[in-house]
Amino acid sequence: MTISNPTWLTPPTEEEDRPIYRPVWRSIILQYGILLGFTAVLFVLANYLRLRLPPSPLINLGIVFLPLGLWIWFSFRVEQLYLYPRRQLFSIVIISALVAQAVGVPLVEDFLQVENWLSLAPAIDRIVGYTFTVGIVQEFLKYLIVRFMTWQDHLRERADCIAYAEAAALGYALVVSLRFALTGTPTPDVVAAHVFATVVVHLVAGIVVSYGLSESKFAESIFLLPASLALAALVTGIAIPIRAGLVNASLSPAALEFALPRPLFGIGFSATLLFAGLWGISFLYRVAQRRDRESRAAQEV
Amino acid sequence: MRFFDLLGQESDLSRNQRWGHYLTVFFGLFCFVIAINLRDNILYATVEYVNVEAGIRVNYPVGWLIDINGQGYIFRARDVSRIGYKTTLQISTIPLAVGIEARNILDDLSLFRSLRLSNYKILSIQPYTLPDGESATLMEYVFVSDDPNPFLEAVPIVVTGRDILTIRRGQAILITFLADSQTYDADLTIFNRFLSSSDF
Repeated sequence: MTISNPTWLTPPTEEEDRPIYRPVWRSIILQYGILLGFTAVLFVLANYLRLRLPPSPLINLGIVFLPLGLWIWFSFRVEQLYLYPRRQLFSIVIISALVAQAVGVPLVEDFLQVENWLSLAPAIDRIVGYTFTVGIVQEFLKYLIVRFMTWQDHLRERADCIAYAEAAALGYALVVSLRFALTGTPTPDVVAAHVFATVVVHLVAGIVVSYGLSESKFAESIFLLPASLALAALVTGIAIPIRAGLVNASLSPAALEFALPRPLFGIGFSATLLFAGLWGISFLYRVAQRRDRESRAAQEV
Repeated sequence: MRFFDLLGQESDLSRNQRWGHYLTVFFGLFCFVIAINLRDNILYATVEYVNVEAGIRVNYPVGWLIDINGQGYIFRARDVSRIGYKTTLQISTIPLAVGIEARNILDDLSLFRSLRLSNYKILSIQPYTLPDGESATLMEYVFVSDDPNPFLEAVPIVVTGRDILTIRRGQAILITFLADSQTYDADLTIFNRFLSSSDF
């Protein structure tokens, strides 16, 4: 008897020993922890040690690109070491930045003219206004980018949604930060605080939407995706006026006598938003992953 | 694999997923419509001012500083929140002598302004039709506004102005709009809304 078309077993290779997907939470904590440390150091140098760096477009540009640099080093570079890297990450950063520059920023600044009618409005009006304008525009555009660039082939597990949402947030925040840094000549410590605040709001809101996207993809939920978009817009709508209120000096005598420099409140608020937001969403992700595991186990039984 | 799969035709979306995305897109667009409505309600909100003696009823933007006791005008509203030159809406009445025409009044105004305003230049004088169909005369001009206090170290601002002169009940009504030249075109919509909502 002759054997035709024998079936060969592929011998195990070193490749298969590598982890399949890059875990995302560790690199996010590392990146934004370093960014927070950098912002705090510049703040302390400028406000307590009086070592204020001169306003320079070159230094400001370096600060604006720092979150992207940290992401390339801690996320994008590391991604390539895994068996199945996420291939759309860099495309999403670039498309997100282009969409922000071409659509998002003109919609908010020129069409909705947010600064003309919201900056002096009462607190509640500002929260509602920023939610429906800046929050919805930013988060809806980022949702569309992630949805249409990754849904078909690139969302293989829930963490993919987080990774792509982070990439979209970085691209969008890059444009917003660039516009701030290149308008006038702000000092580097001010630029660093603004960049940190911008990136944190985009990251937290983006990851909220990513949770809705992951629920739609992996749990086939109808309502969690629009609900997550609403929550993300609300996070943005609350964060912008509260941070502005904390950073900008009040004219009351009590505020003038207060000893702490006010940018410290802004950095503290952004740091709180970052860690509270990440903790809350990671909790939701853990619950969802446990639910997935239990569901699979029940099916196997 | 396509780069963009806009209609989701290649995907194997379940009914729930498809409706989830439809709802999200609908929700995003709905919120955007609310945002436009909020903007219009706040940015274009107006306050009514009626002067029975002069026979005018106007709607000026909320938050603008109104002045009805000035010399040479019966109504003036300024956007004091502006940095630099304060965008201004102004109405004044000029008694007409027999044989005086609109062109004579505008020439007289130009002579007066050329003495008071720095680099005053007329850009154009042309016929104009008011929103209610009445005919009027439109004059556009520029001048340089400089702060009289030299210690403020302010850069002079080029201001563009627009006068609309109409003759009603034997008197000339002069409606004036003044704005920084850099924001003039954008601010002109305020003036047009003001004009279309006013009765003289």
